[in-house]
Parts: sequence; structure tokens; C-alpha cells
Amino acid sequence: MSATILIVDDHDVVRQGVRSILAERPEWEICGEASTGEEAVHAAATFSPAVVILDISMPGMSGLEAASRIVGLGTGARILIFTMHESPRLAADVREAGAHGYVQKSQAARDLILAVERLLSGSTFFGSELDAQSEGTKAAKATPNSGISLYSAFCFR
Amino acid sequence: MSTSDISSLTTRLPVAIAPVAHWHDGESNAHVVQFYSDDSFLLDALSKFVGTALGAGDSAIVIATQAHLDGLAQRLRARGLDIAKSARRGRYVALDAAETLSKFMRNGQPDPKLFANTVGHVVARASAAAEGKNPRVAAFGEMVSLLWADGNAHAAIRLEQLWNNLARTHSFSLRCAYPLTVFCDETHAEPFLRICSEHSAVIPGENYTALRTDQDRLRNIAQLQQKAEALETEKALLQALRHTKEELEKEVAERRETQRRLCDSELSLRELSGHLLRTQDEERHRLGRELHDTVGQYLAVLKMGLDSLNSSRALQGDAASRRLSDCLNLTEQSIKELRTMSYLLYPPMLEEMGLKMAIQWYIEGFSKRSGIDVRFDICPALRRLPRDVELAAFRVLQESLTNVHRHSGSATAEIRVRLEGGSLHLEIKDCGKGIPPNVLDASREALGTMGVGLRGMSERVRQLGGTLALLSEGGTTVSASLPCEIESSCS
Repeated sequence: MSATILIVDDHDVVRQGVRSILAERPEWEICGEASTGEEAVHAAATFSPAVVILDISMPGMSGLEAASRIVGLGTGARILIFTMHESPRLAADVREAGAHGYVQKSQAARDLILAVERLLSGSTFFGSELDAQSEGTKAAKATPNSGISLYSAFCFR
Repeated sequence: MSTSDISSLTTRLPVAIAPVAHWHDGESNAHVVQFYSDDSFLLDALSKFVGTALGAGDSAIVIATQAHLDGLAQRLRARGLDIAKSARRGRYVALDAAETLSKFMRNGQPDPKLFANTVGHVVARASAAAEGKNPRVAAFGEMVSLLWADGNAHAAIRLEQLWNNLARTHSFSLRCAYPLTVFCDETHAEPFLRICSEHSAVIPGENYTALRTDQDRLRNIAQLQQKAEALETEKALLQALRHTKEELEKEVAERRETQRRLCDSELSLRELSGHLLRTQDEERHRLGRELHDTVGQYLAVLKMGLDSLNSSRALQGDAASRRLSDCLNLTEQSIKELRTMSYLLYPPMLEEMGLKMAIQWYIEGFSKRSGIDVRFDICPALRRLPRDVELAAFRVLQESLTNVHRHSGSATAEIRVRLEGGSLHLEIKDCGKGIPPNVLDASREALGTMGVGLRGMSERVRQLGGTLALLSEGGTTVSASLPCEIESSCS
């Protein structure tokens, strides 16, 4: 399945890393790169990519805001948030921005290809099954006193 | 010595100790001052003075207060004098003292020309009206007394002098009167003497003049001398007391000043430490972000590369793949460490999710790192609080748990967080070896030898108007209360 992909990250080295992971799928074409939210919106309007891989923390407009603007363009781009950021609210924030999934940077090699495939097929990706499983197990184990196991949920996984 | 001896001694006294000043034996231009204690005594003496003059066909001028004018008129009539008739003939002139003063006083001082015109005119007319073989004028004035009572001693003395000047061109016998009560202050001694010296004769108050015999008067003088002596001693004592009082006041002022300076420097120290704490927070925040956003990114990309190498078939052979695996583990370890470090520097969830979540997150990590079993009880209704309060509470918890880990030797810790009465109450309790007494004492007093960590906590809490208490009893308990505007509580 051929597809065009836009990579947005303010760190050059991260964009390189993403490129090298995606190189595994030669039928996917990297149609452009951007390093700010504003550039991302502009590039999305210009290239109409099938998928936008979008960092959150960038100088100026944040990735989440760029996401809702790209959705607002109406080009039908699927948006994958790609972040270092970890918080229990992440999934909610991503959904609220109108994006279609997220991947933790530290799990890029494991999850990125899979996530892009899911988005291309019209589905979403909010963490891999591995995470979901481990979270479920931990939540079940958590004592009533300690509430949800936040520490393992969003810090050390 | 027998009584007759004393009386013979008395008769041999060289100086008359009785006052002069009866109208008939007075010289024509006498200027006599009469001191008195009681108004009725003055009026009696005055009516005798004026009455004798009027009776002899002479003229009388009385410049007095209205009360004294009335009292005098009453007494003169009682003596059978027709003062109305004398007044009509110009032989009895009664003038209000205050009103007469106003005619020649200028800028708080008697004007010489105006005085000479005003009073000179009155004297000349009275003089012309006098009858008899050797017509004379008797004058009584208490304008000086009014000036003195007003606190204008200088004007009073000046007026006495103007009367003396007038006597050079006019013939009259003048009597002034002052109540003794107006000379009640120590500072009156000098002007009092000057007033006396402006007069040709002085009549002491009735306490003295009422005494009949010379012996009584001598006794009175001796008694007054004794009183003066006693007063001198008392005065010296008073002076010493005044001196001591001044010294004490000076000392008090100095201490107040020192205290004020101490307060000032404490205030500026507090401001400084507040500033340092804020700077530290900002610095931690920046450092945490920076670590996360830069080194963290590189590590993430490094891991991406290693992961893809690991999964590709390019690398075969046990040694290489084992080494790659080691690199990957090390990278993952670095990512974890870095994340922990940056989150401890400034926990992002404190800002995003609030104190409740951040505490739970921190406790969980702390337990893993330290092996200490931490139980916590956080009031479920705990909502978002002002940023300062959340950060301070989090730092107190962080510092306290670090102390539990480093110093207490306790295997467990208990945390309680409550929002009550508009304040956030935080309690961290362990069952370790407690705080050394000297550190505990220092914490109750000036924080002198208190550890830096404790002092930082205490200062942080104090900056927000809260309190921090340490208890060392079967372990250590740190209790912090932080006022926050939110008016809700856990019930």
C-alpha cells in the first residue's frame, strides 16, 4: 500500500531516526519534513500527506494545536502523535486534538511501523497491546489505598 | 533663754521685717508688688489701699479683671464710700485689664508709645481730678499678672518697666499683684527675681504678712529656709532621676532601633530566601525540561537505531548480537534514569495533574528506589490548589521522604494529606530513630544548626504563611500546614 508521509519534529536527529525506521517500507514515500507547528500546517496543506507524524513539544505552536489545524484543513490526513511526553492525560489530549493515535519515542522501533499501518487502514493506535496488557495487570494488582498505579503507568514503562 | 530674752532680741533686730505699703505711709512714686494666695485677701488689701486714697480726696485707678473690679467695688461700698460719685468726678477710674492690654499690646509685646499714650492719659486725667491739699494718684494694675499667666513672662517684665518709665513723667503710686500660684515652676525662679527687682518694694503673700509678731515672721522665714533646703535635696534627687530616665529612654530607643534593624534584615533575608527558592524552582524546571527535551531526544533516537539494528538480519553472530543487546539495555537504562532525574527536578504531572497524582507518582517511585513501604492517605476530595502551594507541598514531601530514606533507618513511612479549614495539612511519619535533640531544638528556635534540607522546607512553608513542625517520638513526624484560598475540606 503506497502512501505519503509528513514528518514533523524540531530535532533533526529525530526526523532522521524516523526516516530510517520507515525505510523498512519502501512503498511509503516521505513527502516532506517540518520542524515547527506552523510549517507542519503549511506542508500538510501543500502535500496532502496520508499520514502526519507529529511531535508535541516544539517551539511556538505545539504539535497538538498543529494537529487540530491540520484536521481543520479537511485533507483527510491521519495524524500520529510522536512524543517523549508521558502523562495519563496524553491519550485524551491526542483524541481531543482530533489526532488518530500516538507512539512514545522510546518505543518507536517497536510501534511506529505498526501505528502507521493502522492509521493508513483507517484505524487508530493508542499504545500497543503490550502496554495495554501490562497496564491492565498492574491496575488489577493495585491496592485500593494506592489508587491507580501511575508510576508504572507513565514513567517507567 | 527666757521669753523676755527673745523679745528683747527681737527688738534689737537691725532690719524691719514688716512690709510697708499703707497708703498714708507710702512714698508718692512707689512701685510695689503684692503677692497673694487668696483672692479675698488681695481684695481686702486693695480696698484698704484704694479706700484710703479715695477717703483722703486722692484719685484711684484700678486696672483689674472684672471679678476683681466687682469684688473691690463691693468692699469699697461696704466701707461707706460713694464710688459712683467718685467715678463721676473722675477720681475713681475702674478699667478692665484685658481690654486695656489690647489697646497697647502689639505682636505679643507692649508697645511703649501706645502704652504711654493710653495709660499716661488715664493717669493725667485722674491726677487732675484729685482733690485735697496734696493731691495724689493711687494706681492698681494686674495686666502684668495676666501676661504672666499667659506664659508671656517677657511681656510682663517689659510692662513693669514701662510703668517705671511712666513714673518719670507722671506722679502716681502703683501697686501690682500676682497670685503666687502662677510661679509654680522651677524655671520661674529667674524671671520671678526680675519682676521683684522692677519694684521698689515687695509684699510677700498673706501667709507671711498675716503673722503678727517679728518672732512669728522669723520662725516663718526659718521654716521657709528649711523647706527650701529640703526642696533643693529633692530637686537634686529629681535631677538624678530625670537623668536616669533620659538614659533609659535613650537605651530603649537604641534597642528599638536595633530591633527594627533586626526586623529589616530578617525581612530582607526572607525576601532573599524567597527569591532563591523561586530561582531554584525555575532552574530545576529549566534543567528538567532541557534534559528531557535534548538528551532525552538523542537517547530516544539512539534506541530507535539500536532497536532497528537488533531486529535486522544484518548482524549475525553471538558476540555482536550480545554486545548490541548490552548497548540497548544501557540505552534503555539511560532513558529511565534521565526521565526519573528530569521528573524529580520538576515533575511535569504536578503541573498537569495536580498534587494528588504527583504525590502518588512520587511515592510509587520512591518505594521502588528505596525499598521503604510507604502507606498514604490522601483526602479524596483534594482538588487543584494554587501552584505555589502544590509545589511547596510536593517539595516538603520529597524532602521528608528523602530524609526518611537517608537518616531514619525506618522500613516504613506514612503519609497523610488533608484539606481542612482553608489549609492543606501534610504529615509524613516514620518509625525510625528520630531526630537528634540538638537538631530538634534548633528547629524550634532560630533554625540555627538545622539541616539545610529542613531549613529549606521550613522556609518554603513560611514563605507561603504556613507552619512546619517536627516531632521526634518513636520516629519522626513532619507536619506542614499551608494556607490556600480554596474553601473546601475533606469530611
